Order: sequence, then C-alpha cells, then structure tokens
Amino acid sequence: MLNIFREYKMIAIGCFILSVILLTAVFAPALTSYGYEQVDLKNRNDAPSAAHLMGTDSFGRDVWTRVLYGARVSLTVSLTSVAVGLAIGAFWGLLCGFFKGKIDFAVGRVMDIFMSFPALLFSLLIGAALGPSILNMCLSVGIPLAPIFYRVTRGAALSVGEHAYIASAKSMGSGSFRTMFRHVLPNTAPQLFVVLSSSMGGAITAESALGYLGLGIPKPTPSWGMVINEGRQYIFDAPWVTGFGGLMVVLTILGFNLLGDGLRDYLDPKLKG
Amino acid sequence: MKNMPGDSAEDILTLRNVCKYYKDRKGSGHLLKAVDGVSFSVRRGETFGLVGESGCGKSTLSRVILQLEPVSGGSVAFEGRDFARIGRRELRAMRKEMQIVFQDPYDSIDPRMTLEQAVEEPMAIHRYDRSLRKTRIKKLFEDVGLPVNMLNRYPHQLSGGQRQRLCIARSLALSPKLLVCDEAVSALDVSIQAQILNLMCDLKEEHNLTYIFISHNLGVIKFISDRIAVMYFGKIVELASRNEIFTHYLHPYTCALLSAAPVLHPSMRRERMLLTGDVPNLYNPPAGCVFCDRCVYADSRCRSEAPVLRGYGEDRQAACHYAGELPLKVNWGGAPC
Repeated sequence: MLNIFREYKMIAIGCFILSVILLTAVFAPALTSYGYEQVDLKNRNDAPSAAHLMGTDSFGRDVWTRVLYGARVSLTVSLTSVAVGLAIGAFWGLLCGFFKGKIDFAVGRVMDIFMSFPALLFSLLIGAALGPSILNMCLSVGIPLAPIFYRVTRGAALSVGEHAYIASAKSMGSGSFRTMFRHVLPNTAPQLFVVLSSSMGGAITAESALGYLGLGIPKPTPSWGMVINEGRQYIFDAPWVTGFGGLMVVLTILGFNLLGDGLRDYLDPKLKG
Repeated sequence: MKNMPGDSAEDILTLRNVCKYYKDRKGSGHLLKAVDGVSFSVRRGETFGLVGESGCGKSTLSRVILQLEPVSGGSVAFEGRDFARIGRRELRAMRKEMQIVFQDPYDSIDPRMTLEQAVEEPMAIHRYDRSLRKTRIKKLFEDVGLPVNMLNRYPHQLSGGQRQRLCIARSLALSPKLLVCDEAVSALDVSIQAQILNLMCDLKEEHNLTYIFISHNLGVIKFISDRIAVMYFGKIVELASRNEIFTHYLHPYTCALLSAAPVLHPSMRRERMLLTGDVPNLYNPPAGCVFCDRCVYADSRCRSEAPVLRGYGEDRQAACHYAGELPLKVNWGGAPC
C-alpha cells in the first residue's frame, strides 16, 4: 500500500484529501460545539472568526458545522448515485457492445430516450415520483447518469471486441459472460475511470441543484448544495458561506479526479515496471 | 477418386462445400462471398498449407474452421463429428482439440494478463487441476523457449517473437490435435520468422500436431507444408503436394502466383507472368470461373461455366476446365525460399 502511494503520487494525494473529508464527516460531532440547525439570530452573516471558523449564514448557523454534516449527505449521495449509474450503464453498455445486434439496438433506443431529457429535469421527474429521501435522492441523481456510462462502456466494448485476444478467448472455449467480464470489462476500465471521476463532481452539483429546487434531502439535514444555495442570496454580504461550501465541493471533486487518474495509471499494465 | 473429402480415418478435419457469406452492410441485399464452396480434408499429422493473396478468404476460412463464426453453408467435421450437429457443451469440449495462432502477436494476448495468466487461462476455462496447471505452464514455457522467470511479466514487455512464442504456448496448453496458424509468422522479422518456423516444426513432432498453415508468403508455405492449397477469391483453385505444386501446377493462377514471388539472386531475374486487371468485384463475381477476367487462356466456356475442383492423378486437384492442357511455363527459375 505504501509502495503504491510512493509510486503514484496522485493516488496518495487523492486518498489523503478524500480521507480527511471522510473523517471530518464521520467525526463531525466531535469537531464542532454547535448543532447544524442551531440558529443564532444575533450573529447573522458573521465573518469567519475564532468562534465560527467559517463564519455564520443568514440564520446565524455555524457554516463549519453545516459543512461538516453536509459532507455526510453529499458524499453518500454522490458515491451511491454514481454507483447506481455505473451499475446500470456499464452493465448494459458491456452487454450491447459485446453482443451487438438486436439487443444493442433495443437498449440503445431506450438510452436515447433517457438522454433526450435534460439530466436535471429527469432527476426532478424521478425525485418527484419517488418522494424525498436519501435513497430516492441517490436514484434520481444516479439514473440520469446511466446513459453516459452506457455510451462510454458500449463504445469501449465495441472497440475492445475487435481485438484478436477476444477471438482467442472464444476459441479456447471461454463463454460469453466470462469473456465479457474477464477480458472486455477490464480493458474498458481506462475510459470508464475518466467518466467515473468526472461524474462524481456532476453528482454533487446535481444533488445541490435538486436541494435548491426543494426536492433534495428533507430539511433541515444540511448538504453542501444546500449550504451553497442558502448562501447564494447573500453572496456579496457573506461570501464565506458559498465560498466554503463550494470549496468543499471543489476539494472533493479534485480528490476523486486525482484518485481516478492515479488508479487508471496504476491499473495500466503498460506503466508497470 | 482419391483425396476428395471423405471420412477416412486418417483425415482429422473435413470441409465439405464450406461457404461463408456476409450481407452487404448497406442493405442492398448483395451477398459478399468470402468463402465459397471450399472442400478439402486435412490428414492427421500433416501440415496443410493454405496460400493466397490478401482478401481471398484465408482468414475467414480459419475462423469458420474454429467455429468462431458459423458457416453459411456446407459442413466442417472434426474427426468425423460435424460441428453443426453437436451441442454447445460438446462444442466447448471440442474446442480443446483445435486451437489457433493469430497473425498479430501484439493483438492476440490480453494486455492486462501476466504471461502466466495468459497461458493458464485455457486450462482454467477447462477446469484443469491447479497444481497440474503450474507444472504445465513451466513445461510449456520451456517447450516454446521462453524463460520461466518471465512468468510475472506483462505482454508489452516482450518482443514480437517472444509474444508469438507465448501465443503458441497458450494454444498448446490444452494439448490440441490441430493447430491453425493464421499468418502466424507474417508480422515478425524475417530472422524471427525462421526461429518461429523451426520451433513450430519441433513442436509438431513433440506434441503430435496437425497444422493448417495459412500464409501469403510462398517461401514460408513451401518450407513448412506437406500439401498446399491455393485459394483465389473464396475458392480453392488448386491443391497438391508441395513438390507437385511448385513444379507441376495445373492452374494458371498458381502459375501467376508463383511467378510473382521475388527471387533473391539478381542473376536469377526472370520473366514473370503478369496478370492484368484486378480481383473481381466482391459483390458481383463473374458468372463462370472466378479467374476468367484475368486469365490469358480464358475462353467462352470459362466465362459461363464455373470449373469444379477435379482430381488429376494422385494428390492433385485443380479447378480449371483446361487443367493440364495449358502451355503454362513450368519452373520460374529459382523457386522462392
């Protein structure tokens, strides 16, 4: 493990950033003396100080506390929804790219329909139909991600399928599903990692957008999206609210991207000594 | 008639009127006849050479033989068992008996597998015992001349020749009876080609193999084959033993093909039988003999009636109406190889 970190700096930095954020989320109660919905109307929109590390928002709530607790929701939602999108999209993409023909045509048209909705509208639709809860939030953010994963996986699987090593596996008696998961899937991984890390950021933003539209996590549980949106109205008077909320999103996305790129390199046999 | 496809015990593989057609992608309904009515049998223990210019259907034929693609017509039978009539399970078991070595060693090994995994894979698929696998991998590495300390390397760390050795080790893992080598040395340097060819000759003895050796390289084919079939435009135009085909060819296309092989020594420069025209349109082949448009001897019969592969004495077959009657120049001075 340490060797990996030493050799792949990007994995080390990415892991460091993500684990710090994860730890603060887990130990949030120990890291703050305020409650996330503790209103203090005397100290509204206070600038960062020793008492309030990241200042306070328009209700006088401690931004640091809300960011800490917000990480719980935001990380859960982004990870789960990307996992949902990946599972649906990559599975069908792999299937279609490998078998081609009729199944490819049929699934492809269904994915086209999904893609024809703007992602946010689609999220709203699912969110409205399922009602507000964390799980439904993950589904409504995750399902619109599926067509992207589908397209990338399918395209990669189509090109991998042309290689002679696929025919070679077949000639040895490797069954379709074995060939698909042992040969095609690992070789589509580089393309998948790129989409994976970039969609992680998309999921966090989608979650905040839904939160802004009132279809997010039931209040008062904070999420980063909610922190940003609540601070938006006072962005000139109290830039620290949106600023620190946004900073967390940026850091998380950066962490995922570094980890994703690093893992891609780590898994590439050509870069191994 | 001798040597026509039959179920003789010495025949390991029998092809009867094998056809492979592809539909035109644009949906015009035209059929592309990649392989059209090919019949021959391969005898146990021989090296059967298949030669022809690019695009003549050699590789398609190899894919059909290995059941990587279904036939459009005709039948392929391995040791008397017709592939079309056996179930999935049996086909899986039969895949052990015949293996393929592909042309491009850079493309035919999964880049994410170590050499050990690559050689182990066929044995894992067929549920070989784990300890048996380990000993077999070492043995196979030794057989093909790869150092055993390379087991944990990745394919990209190998040279082309080493990769092809790995491919051969992989294809031998299941102890097949028949090995189809589809341009197996064409992608390699000439010096490496010789090494691999010698290796294949040794392995043939050691493992009691039968080869179907596909190549466009006449020198290679002449070196390794016992019998040679010449393919043109999806059909076998001539089939004979190696010595016969290089000296007493019966088909004008064979004559032209042999005359096209370059000769090394400058003093051996000689006249060539130059063909005019081009390979026929794939979607619109000529009505008669596929070679009639380019053949200097073609007459009205050739243009209307397709010749069939007929026997001419022992071990010789040709698909030409006038086989044996044409004044073909024999021996183009300094045969290739």
